[in-house]
Amino acid sequence: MKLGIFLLALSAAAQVRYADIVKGPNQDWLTYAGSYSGQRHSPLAQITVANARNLTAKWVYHVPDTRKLEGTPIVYDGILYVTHSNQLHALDARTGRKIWIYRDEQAESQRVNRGAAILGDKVYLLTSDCHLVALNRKTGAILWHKKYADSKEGYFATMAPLVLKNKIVVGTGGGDSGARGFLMALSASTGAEMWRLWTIPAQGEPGSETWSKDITLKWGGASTWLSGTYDPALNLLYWTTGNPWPDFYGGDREGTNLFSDSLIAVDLDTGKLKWYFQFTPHDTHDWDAQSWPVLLDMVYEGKQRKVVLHPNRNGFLYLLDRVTGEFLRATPFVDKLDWATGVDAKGKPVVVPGKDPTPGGTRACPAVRGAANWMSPSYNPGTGLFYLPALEQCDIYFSSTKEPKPMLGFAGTGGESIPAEPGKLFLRAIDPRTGKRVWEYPMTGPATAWAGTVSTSGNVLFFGDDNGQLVAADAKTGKHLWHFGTSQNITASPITYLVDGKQYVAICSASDVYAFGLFEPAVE
Amino acid sequence: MRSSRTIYNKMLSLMILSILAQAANADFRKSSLMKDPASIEQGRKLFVSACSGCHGPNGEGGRGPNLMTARQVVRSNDETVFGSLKNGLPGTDMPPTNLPDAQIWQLVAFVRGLNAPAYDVEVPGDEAAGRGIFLGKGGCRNCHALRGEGGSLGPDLTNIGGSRPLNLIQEGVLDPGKRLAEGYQPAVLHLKSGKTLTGVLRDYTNYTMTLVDNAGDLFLLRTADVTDRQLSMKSPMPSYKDRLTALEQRDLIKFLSRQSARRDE
Repeated sequence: MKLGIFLLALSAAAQVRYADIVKGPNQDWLTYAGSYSGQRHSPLAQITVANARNLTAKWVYHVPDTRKLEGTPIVYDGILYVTHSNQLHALDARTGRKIWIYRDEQAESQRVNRGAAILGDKVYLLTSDCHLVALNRKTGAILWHKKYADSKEGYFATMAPLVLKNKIVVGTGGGDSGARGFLMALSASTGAEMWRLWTIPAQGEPGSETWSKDITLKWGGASTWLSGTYDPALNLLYWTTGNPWPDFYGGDREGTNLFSDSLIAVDLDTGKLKWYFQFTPHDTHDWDAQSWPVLLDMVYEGKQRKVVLHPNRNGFLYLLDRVTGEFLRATPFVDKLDWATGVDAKGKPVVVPGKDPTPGGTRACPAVRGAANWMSPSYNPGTGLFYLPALEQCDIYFSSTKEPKPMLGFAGTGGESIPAEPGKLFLRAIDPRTGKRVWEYPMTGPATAWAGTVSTSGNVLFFGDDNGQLVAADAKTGKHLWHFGTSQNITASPITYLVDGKQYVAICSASDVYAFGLFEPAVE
Repeated sequence: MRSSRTIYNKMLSLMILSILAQAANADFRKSSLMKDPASIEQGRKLFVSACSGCHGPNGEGGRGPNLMTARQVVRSNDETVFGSLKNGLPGTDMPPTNLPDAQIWQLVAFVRGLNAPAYDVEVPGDEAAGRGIFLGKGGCRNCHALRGEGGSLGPDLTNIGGSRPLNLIQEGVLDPGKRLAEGYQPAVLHLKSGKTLTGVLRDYTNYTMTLVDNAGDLFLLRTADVTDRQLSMKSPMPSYKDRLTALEQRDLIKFLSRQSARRDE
């Protein structure tokens, strides 16, 4: 390696601009999903179907005190930023050596954390107790803290904040204890609140009539715990909402429970709701809608459409017009789906009676974990395929009719796995134009992975499997190309980036960050 | 979001533990003992006679751990510290005590004063005057930043009061040579290219070096590309023992103790 290449001086002028994030991934990976579209597709193509077998580990960075890293790193200017609970680690993206570590030891709780955000010379982190923290990206020095939700009201944060123009958009967790969900935009410069959108209407507002009791209208959950996607041309945010509370007993919340388990389209400038689509009305299976709304422009039924593709925990893959919210199509992406026979012309599920949780237990599919979840799918414009981790599993669902009391962890009971019916994970490639499966990659393992995917223009798809392996597969055929065993459960999604002219692939496993690149033979 | 009843139950247990931990943390922060000067002073006298043999005269450690920094002490709630004092720690040299409970609580107050973040304890002095010294006569901002304003050759001080006990802040101002902050080793590096970099080393291995220079720029280097290096084990920070009057020292320490990233809560 030559001196001029290895000496990487980060100039004060190097700043991440909003326009850079809009362009999508190139050598850097600037936002949680790589791009605002959520496609997680990189144009990098050094690693190809032909040479992927030559991949080798470049470095490993150990994060102490953790067994469950869930973060997607971001990369800018040769620095990789990875998060853990109330921590942000800045690493040399070529060597994995630590540059600085920020730890917030005053945080009131410890939760998993899924990533950072970057804009200008600042890098942003959400603490478990809902502080937005801005740090100097080069030194880790604290610039400001802004508390945006009160943990004493049951709120917590696990998501990567989302940078949009001059705003940082954040959400909350806590819906499983009743905390009323909201989406908030804060100033990227100061942390000042710019707008807030509640995901459950206030008493008297449209939608409030979909809740039968005051207690659940006030404490109905519908959290916003996963980052969303964004269409710059429409200036619309696409954000998914969580389950209504209590999760498994619906007797205290008769009605459809808006806007739980929904995709909401929100005007970025005003925070006003443009449209919504609810996937699972009156959910009693804890099927948050928190899996990615992926934005595509494609021909559908002979007409060019701006669409949003969303694999839901309830087992259906939805296609909506993202301008209007019009329902276009829903197709099952798992075989183990018995709670509904399909959807009607408006996209509402045709529910099978008798699948609600009961005190004695009711078998229903998918499992409470969902056929999909927050782990990232991806889309390759070259192959035209959508890549999705899918779980085939059923559970026994139990309910209890105890009076709901918020903030005490009461969920109306829960789901329990069936020992004789172990779950199985698949990586499925689906054609978004038809909803049909093109290929699938079955995984052996205990069905405990929470691993996502990243797509590349080298037509190599990377994903974590159910045995702690990072896998490279041919994006067209699903053929295995390479794998690397981390010996740890993978609960994160991979990324790819380029530094000093070399492509890397990085992923977090339980307690370590791994980076891989092509083998470099000795030069005589 | 749950994956099974088992996980749900585990989460519930964790939640309860978390709530208990938060409650303990709240007790810790709100402890009236820490802010009772009479209890702390009585505790100090007891400490000198009964504990300093192992933990040092100021709790800085010796045969026993440093009570200002040891995680098992810092992260324990008042009741746990009380229990350790009263019953000792089996398997270690920490013996039980026969002191009456009221005196053990005074010891707890003293120990808490040693390791509680300075922001959480009463600190004498004039904060505004201290700010003036920090920004002016002290020249502190040349090397240290507060909320993004200042230098980067010394540690960021935005959360110094929220993260460090008073004793360590006092030591940092009056006896900074005692310890060198990790990642702030002064260095002058001569590179193969002919360039010379002066700053502090954030990281240093046989293979890579990371340096922040006086202008605040970051350099990620290969050690093999550094032809000559001058590394110092001495903190570049001057002692303010003789540079400031006792009153000025007090005010500067007061100002630093008020620096908490979460002070706006």
